[in-house]
Amino acid sequence: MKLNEKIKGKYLELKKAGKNEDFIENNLKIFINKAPKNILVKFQIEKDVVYIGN
Amino acid sequence: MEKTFKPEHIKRLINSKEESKIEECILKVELNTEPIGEGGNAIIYIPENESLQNVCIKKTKDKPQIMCNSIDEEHSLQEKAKNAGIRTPTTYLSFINKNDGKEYFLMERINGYSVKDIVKDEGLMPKNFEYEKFCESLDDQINKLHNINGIMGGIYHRDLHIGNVMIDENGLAVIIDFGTAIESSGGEFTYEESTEMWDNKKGRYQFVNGFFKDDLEMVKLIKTEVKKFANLKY
Repeated sequence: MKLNEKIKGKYLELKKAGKNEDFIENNLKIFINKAPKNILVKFQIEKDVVYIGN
Repeated sequence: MEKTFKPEHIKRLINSKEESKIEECILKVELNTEPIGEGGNAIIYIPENESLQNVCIKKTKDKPQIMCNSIDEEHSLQEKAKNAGIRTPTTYLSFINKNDGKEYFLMERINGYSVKDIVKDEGLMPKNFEYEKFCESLDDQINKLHNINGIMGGIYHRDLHIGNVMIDENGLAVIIDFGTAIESSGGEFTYEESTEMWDNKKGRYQFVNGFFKDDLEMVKLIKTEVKKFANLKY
């Protein structure tokens, strides 16, 4: 699996800030351990469940 | 003795190197999708959910037409091109779905149509389209792509045709499908390398020469097609 730099960076940024969601681009968002209404992909990074959706 | 390849050998192309230090694995992918395009190696889908339709999903076929880049390799080249300012869809992630064994690639869906769709009247030319502006943007993208590594060369697309160049809402060229692209210094072997193609009659992959297209020659043909269409319509 290969994540783009933006998703990777956003994940690390959210972890550091203690937040669990943010926009990646347009209406696409990343969520950490919080399922959005519309899930495009769900994956695991270390112990976190990460969702891409909105 | 003739060398043959079966579909399972394609798996050798799956890139196992992990560039990230974080452990990642896919748990679920949205499979409620509808196809919007098909090539020799993959089918492009968009999610049925309207709020996610600015994303498209590329899914590899069981029997790709040719041995080409793995989805991860394609992702890396496309991301490199994007980061260098080349107009190509933003990449999000690529992965193998354990449930169906297929390779997936999630990326931005461009707001526009391919030149092929437009010249076949299956897609719309953007309003206020300017032929010169389009040509300038196409030349600029290809020049940037070929020189992405400076004196070391760059990325060569090798499958440029009217289906792999899109025109966005601003009338600018967008380069898509890095499935056969390669990083090269631009020497004679960039296009002459042989590849393996699926032979339906023989039911196996066979080496072929002359598959790859010269980017600069193809740019001329694409411009000619667009010019013919633009002259006809405007």
